[in-house]
Amino acid sequence: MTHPNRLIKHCHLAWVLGGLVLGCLMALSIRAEADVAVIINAKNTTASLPREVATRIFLQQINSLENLGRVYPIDLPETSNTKKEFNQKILKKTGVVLRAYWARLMFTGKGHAPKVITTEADVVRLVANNVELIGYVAPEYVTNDVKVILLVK
Amino acid sequence: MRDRNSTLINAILSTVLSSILLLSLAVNAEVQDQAVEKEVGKITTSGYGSAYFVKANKDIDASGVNPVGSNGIGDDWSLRPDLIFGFQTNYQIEDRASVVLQLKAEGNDDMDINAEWAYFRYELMPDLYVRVGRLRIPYYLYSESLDVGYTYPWVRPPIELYLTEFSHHEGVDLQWNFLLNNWGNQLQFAYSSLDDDVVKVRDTFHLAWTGYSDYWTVRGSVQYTDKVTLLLAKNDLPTAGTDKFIYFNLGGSYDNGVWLVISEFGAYDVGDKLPVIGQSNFTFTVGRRFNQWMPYLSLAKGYSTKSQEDNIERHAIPKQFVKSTYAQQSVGLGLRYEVSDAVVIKSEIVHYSGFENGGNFRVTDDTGLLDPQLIDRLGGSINLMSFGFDFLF
Repeated sequence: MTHPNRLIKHCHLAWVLGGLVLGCLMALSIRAEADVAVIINAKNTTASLPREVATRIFLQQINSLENLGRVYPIDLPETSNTKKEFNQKILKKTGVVLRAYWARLMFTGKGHAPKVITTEADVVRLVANNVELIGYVAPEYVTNDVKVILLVK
Repeated sequence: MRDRNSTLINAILSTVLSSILLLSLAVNAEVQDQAVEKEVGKITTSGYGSAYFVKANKDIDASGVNPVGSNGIGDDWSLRPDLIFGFQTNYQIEDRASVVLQLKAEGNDDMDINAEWAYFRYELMPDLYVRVGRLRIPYYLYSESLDVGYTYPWVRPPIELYLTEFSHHEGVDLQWNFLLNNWGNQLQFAYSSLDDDVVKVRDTFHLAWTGYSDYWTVRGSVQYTDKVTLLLAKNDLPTAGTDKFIYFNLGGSYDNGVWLVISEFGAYDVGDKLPVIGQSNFTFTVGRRFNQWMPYLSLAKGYSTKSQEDNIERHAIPKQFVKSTYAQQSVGLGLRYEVSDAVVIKSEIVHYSGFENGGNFRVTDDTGLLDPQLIDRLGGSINLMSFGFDFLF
């Protein structure tokens, strides 16, 4: 027969484990609500970019700005969490809306979706090497070689 | 000694491996850099298609008239009227220059292949482009992607507005993209001509503005020419003169990912020398997304803005061809389901009515006019049912 104290201990253990699992889930949910940093080459003199203007660039509605010059946006894969955050917080569009949007642009000859780069580290490296590129990553990927011009929380 | 050797070998191995790794990373980086920066000489291909079974409650095809804007629709299920395949090839000639060719095969056209788009595009400066060749006419919000069913909610866009006897023209257009009050804007100016069995048009000027915000897309466009000639003589109708054509459209859509609302208004007028009359057309659509599902409701109305009787008298058109002015309206209910990133299923039922008095239907013959006795065969209304899918590849 199990001693009552043991039962209490088991209960405590269950609470602790439950708390840990809950904590992990919360941490995951916090990660799911991660920030997104829009980055350009560190040599570029532009200090900041309004969210709406970044949206217009990544949707290929404009591809040059007075202070940025010619810019080519680069994208992340659909499976990326940062991409999902970016769609929601910066583009303000769902996947369904975006797919129809890109199809419309492509088959009317007015543009195409930005080039997809596999990893966020590659996005940072490419932007660091090219003054015409603009990308976005989770803030932890940002290095001194690139400049954050928009941080959306 | 052995330890020393093994340490040395390990160091050499690790140096070699690191070098190989760095080299492969560099090569990979170079490949990706090239891919981002330069696509010269690259051919990209893509395509779209639609396949819908369609059926009306009356034999529209046998009636000889066509208020639904698509030929071959009867009272049995048929795939042919709404079968379409399109294939697009882009070739990047150099950094600023490219060529686009879009070929289309339609069931109603016996799957013959026609070029819907065929143009040369050059970037004059960032955000300023010139295109020369065959282009779609920028009338309405979805005019330029009318063949790509994936891009809009309906099985077929409301015909009261979206009847495009002339979907493309040959000419030159200038596109300027710019930012204003955080809206993305595109101004499109075109100069063009077009020819087909029914009409010859010269010196046409188009101006279209499209504005984008987070949830709004707005388009306004005007078109003007004074050189429209309708080629009607072959049907024993009076030979038409040459006169002006002016067209105006204003439309907008709101899409926040949950609600989709689309509304458009279009109107055109023609000069007195032409045996046709001006029209006004209006559409309204609302849809609500539930994950992959989106039910929608669409309303549309089209009507003549002048009396057809005056037109008949002026041009001595035999009265049996036209009974009264054009009028038509429709109410549609549909459901769109996103199967995957590239496939959507849609089903739709549309009720067309408002032509009880023999309104001048949209017609399919070469005359552009209609014998009202044919209209009577359809009675006062038509129901059209469609079920199928759109896809991208």
